[in-house]
Amino acid sequence: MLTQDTKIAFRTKTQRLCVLALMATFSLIIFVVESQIPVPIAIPGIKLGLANVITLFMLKRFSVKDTAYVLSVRIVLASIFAGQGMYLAYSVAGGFLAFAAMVLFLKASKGENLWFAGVLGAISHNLGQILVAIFFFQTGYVAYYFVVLTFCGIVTGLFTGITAQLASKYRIK
Amino acid sequence: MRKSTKILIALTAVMLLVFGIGTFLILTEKQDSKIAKIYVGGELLYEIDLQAVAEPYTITVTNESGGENVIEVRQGEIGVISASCPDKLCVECGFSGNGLLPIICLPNEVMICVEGGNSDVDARH
Repeated sequence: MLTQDTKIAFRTKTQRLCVLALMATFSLIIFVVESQIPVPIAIPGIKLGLANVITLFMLKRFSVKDTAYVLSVRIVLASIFAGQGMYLAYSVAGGFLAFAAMVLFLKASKGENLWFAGVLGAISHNLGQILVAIFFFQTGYVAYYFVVLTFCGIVTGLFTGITAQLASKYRIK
Repeated sequence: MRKSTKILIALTAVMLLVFGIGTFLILTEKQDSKIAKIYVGGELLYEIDLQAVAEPYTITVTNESGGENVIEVRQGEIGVISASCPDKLCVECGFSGNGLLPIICLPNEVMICVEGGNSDVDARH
């Protein structure tokens, strides 16, 4: 069994920069690949959220601060890749609400049950997006979407959470 | 397995069940309705009684940043047939004549919902 719970210790600033840049690249590659996977149901906002695996992995093995850096870079660049400025508002609201929820959960659970952080992250990501949608459309009608999105979010969140939990056991050299 | 893990698994299962039932109810909900409302950027632009539509026609809505959605209105049904947004989810949603889920185009801030027309009847009592 590999040692768990060890946060990565950077030896030099350059090493930190490189590793964080690599993490940002990983999450962007995952984002781009994921956007090519067709979603079987035509409901706006439904996606696998695979890039969250990187965020979860980093919360477990890196500091919260470093994770926040990589997440910010990913959200901004991913919105540019997606080619629509509108998505930025949704991604920022969803991404940071999910981030806050995952950080709080992992603090309370002392890093245990990483898979549930994935589920929680997915649900709060949907919540953030729905709140932005209510703000833009000025109507509570979109709240019906929350139920549908949350159901799908729990399923995809389980998937990303378990993936991150399995991945976080391995050391990065 | 730890106790906390078991509790979280149970919690996840309960949430899945509750939201699963909720999703099922929302997707299968039928309204004998037919007032379509088209919103652009939070503003109500059109209100159409879908029962009263004799000939199908199209409406083109343009938002502030120039995004366009072409909406087709038929008897009892409404849907987006083409849009300038990149993902075209609003087009894939197809035509809607009932149901609680509105057709939404997030990039162009366009929303179409079909609401029950029963309120007029109630008001007469």
